[in-house]
Amino acid sequence: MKKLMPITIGILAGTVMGLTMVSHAEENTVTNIWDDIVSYGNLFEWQDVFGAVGLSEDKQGKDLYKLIYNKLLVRPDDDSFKAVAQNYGLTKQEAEDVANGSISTIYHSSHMKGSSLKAGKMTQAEAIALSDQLINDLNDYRELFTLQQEVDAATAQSELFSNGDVADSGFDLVYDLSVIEQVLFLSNTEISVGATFENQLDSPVPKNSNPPQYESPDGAGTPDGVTFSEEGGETTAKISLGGDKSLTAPVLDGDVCTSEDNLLEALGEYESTLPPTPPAGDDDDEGEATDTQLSQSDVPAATADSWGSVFCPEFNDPKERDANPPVESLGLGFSQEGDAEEGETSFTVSLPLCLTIELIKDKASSYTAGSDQCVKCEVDQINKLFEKTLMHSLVPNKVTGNYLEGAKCKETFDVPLIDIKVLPIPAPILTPPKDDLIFGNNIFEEWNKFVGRLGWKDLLAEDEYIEEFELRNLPSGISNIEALVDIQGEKARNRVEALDEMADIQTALTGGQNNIYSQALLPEMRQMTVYFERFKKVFEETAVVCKSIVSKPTIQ
Amino acid sequence: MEIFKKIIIGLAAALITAGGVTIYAQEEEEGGIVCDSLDKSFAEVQEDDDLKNTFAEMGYLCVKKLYHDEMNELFNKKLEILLNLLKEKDFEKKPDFQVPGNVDVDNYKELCKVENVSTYCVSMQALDIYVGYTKVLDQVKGYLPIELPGGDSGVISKVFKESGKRDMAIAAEVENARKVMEATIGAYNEFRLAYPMHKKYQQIIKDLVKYKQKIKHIRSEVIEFPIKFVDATSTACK
Repeated sequence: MKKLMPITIGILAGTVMGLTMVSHAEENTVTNIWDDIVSYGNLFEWQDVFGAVGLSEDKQGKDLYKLIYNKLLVRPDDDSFKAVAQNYGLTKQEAEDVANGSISTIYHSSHMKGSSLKAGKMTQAEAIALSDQLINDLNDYRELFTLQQEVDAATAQSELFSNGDVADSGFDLVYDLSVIEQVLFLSNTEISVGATFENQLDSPVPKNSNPPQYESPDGAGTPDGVTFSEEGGETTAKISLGGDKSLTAPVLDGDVCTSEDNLLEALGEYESTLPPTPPAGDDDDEGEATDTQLSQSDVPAATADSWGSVFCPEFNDPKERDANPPVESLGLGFSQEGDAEEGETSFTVSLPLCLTIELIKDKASSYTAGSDQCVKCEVDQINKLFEKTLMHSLVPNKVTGNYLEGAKCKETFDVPLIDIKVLPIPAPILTPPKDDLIFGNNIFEEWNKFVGRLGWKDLLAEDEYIEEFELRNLPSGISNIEALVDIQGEKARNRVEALDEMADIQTALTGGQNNIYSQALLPEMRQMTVYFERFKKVFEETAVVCKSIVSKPTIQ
Repeated sequence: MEIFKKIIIGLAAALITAGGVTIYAQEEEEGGIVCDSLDKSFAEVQEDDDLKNTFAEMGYLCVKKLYHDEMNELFNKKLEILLNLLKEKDFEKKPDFQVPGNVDVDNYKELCKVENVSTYCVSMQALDIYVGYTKVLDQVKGYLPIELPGGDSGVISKVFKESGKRDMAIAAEVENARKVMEATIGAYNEFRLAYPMHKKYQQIIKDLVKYKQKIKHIRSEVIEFPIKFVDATSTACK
């Protein structure tokens, strides 16, 4: 029974507490079920209805009415109570109590702001005045927040789906248009042909190896027991092997093997480790010594049947190595250094490394046509690529043709019994006539040249000679002066007549030449018209061919 | 130690009991007893005075809750139908998406079916509910308030005071309900116009991306297209 006592007391106390809480709630709030449901919901902003994360498409717009109710009627009230409560140093519940006419809240409040009156020491009139002031402020805030929410509800709904922001509505028309524009016209990635391989294999060589970064795999900096030093522009690493033993090795600039003549180097090293050679002339002994050295090698030869497998020579046990130093063969093994101080044993090590080479075959392309390319970019590239092709005639040029003759797509036919293909040329072109002597030259200039070449020019041009000739043959009874005047007059008449005749002849010749030239040109122009028509036909047929090329199967 | 144990047990029992009592009281208040739905629409009130009285007898707060519930449900239902309609091909040609032909204020009740999601029909149906609601609110004014806090129903002065407050709240509620309804209809209209466009845009984007991929494929082929056709010929012009 004693064990049930705490439980009984607890139940009784809980019942009293619960009833008190319910009673208090009923007393201090104007019960408004719908407002409570809305205000305690999660519908605060547009995105809660239209663009909430994880909102399925089927739930778009759900509880839109609640949202607007909340915006227009609940939020202004709520916000104004919060604002007033903050200004007066009350809780929201206390502000609501004051608005509902409870003066005691003000009277007993120990943290009133905006008033020099201390809680518990103010008179009732002072408390009422403070309450009126709070209610006035509350009404002002309510009007302000109501206006704010009305404006929001009136304008936001018309801009909600076309303001470029998808976060407030889940979708946006302006955003959709921008995506369409991007797909059509914009390009995010520069198209590069012949640039870096898009999906190239990762190179083992660090791209920026200068200065070399020696980082341990776990990012802890230089590996323990490794020190680096530079001498003569070369970096060497000293690796501690425990105790006083260490290994010194050159550090390569890049993670690539230097091109070395390994065979020559191995032979050189081999010769340097040989024991002093016997006097010259004892070749046979030298040969035996070499054979002996080789026979002591601990490197087993790969069996004949396993050439394709991994070859990794095995060494003797370290104890055995220490017991039988030096062991040398082709640069593999241990040797004592000659400059070691007394009492110390130093040695150089040539470590065998078994490298597993894995050949990776992958497709790499320098053509970086990403999925974010635009339609216009693709079309531009196609046009650009086709330019090279279209610069050349696609029509086969195997068949020769005449000047200005389309040497393309000529139909041949076989002559029976003779292995000859006959190629008819439907319209042989008229070559220009060989009348260059006439066309393009002035006949008078040519005459002058002709006369000049024959030396007649001087003869005809000598007026004095003509006058002298006339004077010598004067009839009797005519004075020299009269005769001279007649001669001058005759000469002038003849000159004028000659010039007139020459002008007539020149005009006639020019007209005749034009006529002849036109007569020759017209057929050619007609011919060219025919050719152009055929060219046009060829182009049209080429278009048909191009379409048929597209439909041809391709070989993958 | 034993005392602490008993205190903890007592406190736990008290908290559990207090919580249970509070929850029970809230459920009782919100809908368990007073605000049971009548499974009737406020729109029917216009033609059924008995229903109007039945609603009015439920009291202002419950009527208000039922009205806003019904309005919220109406828009939810219409949006659900709209979203399902948008999944169909050529939804814009569907009769339920369009305003019925020759519809007006006299025949909209016959022509505007439940499945019709045009803004006109939705707004007229919402308006019917609203009109019924205002009629019920008018009727509520004729009843003494039953939602007096603190169980003061028996005090006449308190009753009249609450009645005056309630009537003022009803007057404000008529105006507020209209504003909310208008704003919601506006938002619904925007959504109804914008969302189909968005769906169309999505389809266009999808097609454009496909188109772009095809062109990209053509470009891949063009890259390998020979610049010259060396030693190539044909027996015919093809």
